Amino acid sequence: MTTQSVRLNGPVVRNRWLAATRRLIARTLLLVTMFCLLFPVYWLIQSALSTNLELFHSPAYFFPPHPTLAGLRDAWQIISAGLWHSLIISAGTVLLSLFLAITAGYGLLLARAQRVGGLVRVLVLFGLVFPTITFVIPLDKILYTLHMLDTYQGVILADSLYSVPLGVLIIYTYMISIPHELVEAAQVDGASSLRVLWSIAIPIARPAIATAAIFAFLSAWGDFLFAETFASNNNILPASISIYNLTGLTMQNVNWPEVMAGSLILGVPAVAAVAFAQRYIRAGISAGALKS
Amino acid sequence: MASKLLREEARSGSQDPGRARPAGAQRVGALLRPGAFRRPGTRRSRAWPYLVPIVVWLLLMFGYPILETIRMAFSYVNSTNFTTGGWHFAGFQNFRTLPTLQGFQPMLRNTGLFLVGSIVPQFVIGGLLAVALNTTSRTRRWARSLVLLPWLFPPVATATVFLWMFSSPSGLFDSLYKSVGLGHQVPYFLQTGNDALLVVIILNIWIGIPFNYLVIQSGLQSIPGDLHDAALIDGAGWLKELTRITIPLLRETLLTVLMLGILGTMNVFAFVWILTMGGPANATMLPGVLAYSQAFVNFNYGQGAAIIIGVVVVLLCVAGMYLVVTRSQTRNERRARIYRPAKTAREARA
Repeated sequence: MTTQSVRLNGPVVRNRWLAATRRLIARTLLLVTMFCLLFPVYWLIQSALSTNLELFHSPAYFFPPHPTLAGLRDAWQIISAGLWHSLIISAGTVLLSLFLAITAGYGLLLARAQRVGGLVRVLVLFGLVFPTITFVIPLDKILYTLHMLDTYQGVILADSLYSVPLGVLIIYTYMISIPHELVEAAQVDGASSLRVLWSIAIPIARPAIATAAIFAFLSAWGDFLFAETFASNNNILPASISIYNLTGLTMQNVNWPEVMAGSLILGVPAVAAVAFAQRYIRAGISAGALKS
Repeated sequence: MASKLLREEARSGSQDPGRARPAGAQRVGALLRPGAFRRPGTRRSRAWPYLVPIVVWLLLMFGYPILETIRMAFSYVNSTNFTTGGWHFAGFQNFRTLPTLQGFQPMLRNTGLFLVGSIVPQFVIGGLLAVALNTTSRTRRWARSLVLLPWLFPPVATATVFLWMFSSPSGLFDSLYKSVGLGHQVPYFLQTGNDALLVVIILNIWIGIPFNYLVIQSGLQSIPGDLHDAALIDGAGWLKELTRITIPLLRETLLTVLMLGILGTMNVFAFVWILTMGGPANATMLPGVLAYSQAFVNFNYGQGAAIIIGVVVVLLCVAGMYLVVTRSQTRNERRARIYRPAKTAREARA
């Protein structure tokens, strides 16, 4: 075999049969992986549309024989209040973390050559690698002394731990790509730094802000740790906890279609994000660090 | 309007971060490089008013909790004095008694199995998916977006699905086992030790694949296509291309993914708590779960904090190793750039 002669298609031309098999294997593997990745989601939908009796039928039905919306209706009745609480908590978290991330991103941009800036940057990086489980024990005490246990403010403050460091990172890295001439021109025209933030930095950084907002929303919406610990009052109990409570302690009495339907409803924002905001999710992930 | 044009420019520059700049890792690095984008002769604006909110937040939500955790780890803290804060100093008592804790030895074993058992498959499958889905066709575009779902799904939702699928000999596995002639021995997965650990590992792999896939994929897109063409012309096979081009160029991205995988895996709490609560008989006990149950079930807050401190020390070592490895690499790259100055993105666009 010579490597001097130029073969435009390299190994492909050498053996067409081999290449075809290789492609077949690759495609099969891809299909199998995708099937495994998506099967639990399918099973969730399937179970949400079945009745409890059908679910325990043996052999299992791959399609529900008589699809019914009863489970969804029951689940909606149980968790609709929780969904409302989740929405308030998530919206609050989005607002809080956007405020912190935009001001911090802009402040870091202005202070990028100063020592303060370096210190805050390192601290934010620290925040990215710290596991959230670290904070649950001390926060329980701190929120107690602030009288914020079982309040929206308390849960929102705790949930901001997921999204603030990431938001700062996303918005700051986007803001430093703003052409400097633009800021200088505004400064020459006498614009204050607040004016520059409002009319230049924020409008330009809109995609980054959207990315940060989506991640803040999804992390607060899916939060289990802080909600389970800091929200025991029914008046603020988020949907994730009310679904968790449905699974109860005795497995035998669980109404699975109801639980699955509840989980399905809970998953709607995630599905919407995949369907409509994928660009932002990809941008956020390649911003580097995410807590999975 | 000029500002609109500039906005377009800024957007097009950063819309696809994978392509505009080498992947993830470098963007994290941007936070570490002070003054990288400072121009000489520009007026300094006052930055501190904008930094006040984040500094307050960092002090309240970050500094103070960490100090309290350290203080707790070295004190006797139980449910009666937890909220008052007047704790007696305990020295290393909380750490010394850790090995006698019931779940501690299983926790160490499980953490090892859990780390290796979930990070390796996550990484391999995610990477292979990234390579497989790196071409554009309509079906692959669909696949690429659907891959994201497991990761974005709320942990409670994924946990309940797995709880249902593996909970009892009901439906799914019953018929699977029957179809291969094992109908009479369908196991209670979550009630038997090693099976439960396996289920938890599978769930963690399932959640982790999309993240690994995405980061590796955005790294792949940053590799210039000419390199692949060149390899093709030179007659390099796919294996050679992988080991000589893709992996060396993606070194930093791959290290980032691995580090974040370790961090995320050590941070696992929600779905283990929902699926097994660390049981049966501590078979799925992991550091986060042990710390949480010590603190909030057994009300031994001091020991919970001690476990957390241990986790944090391990993670800081991992992060430190990562920084050392990637730092030395970027220094080499910078040295190389002295001889072969690359065009900056802005110059290229102008």
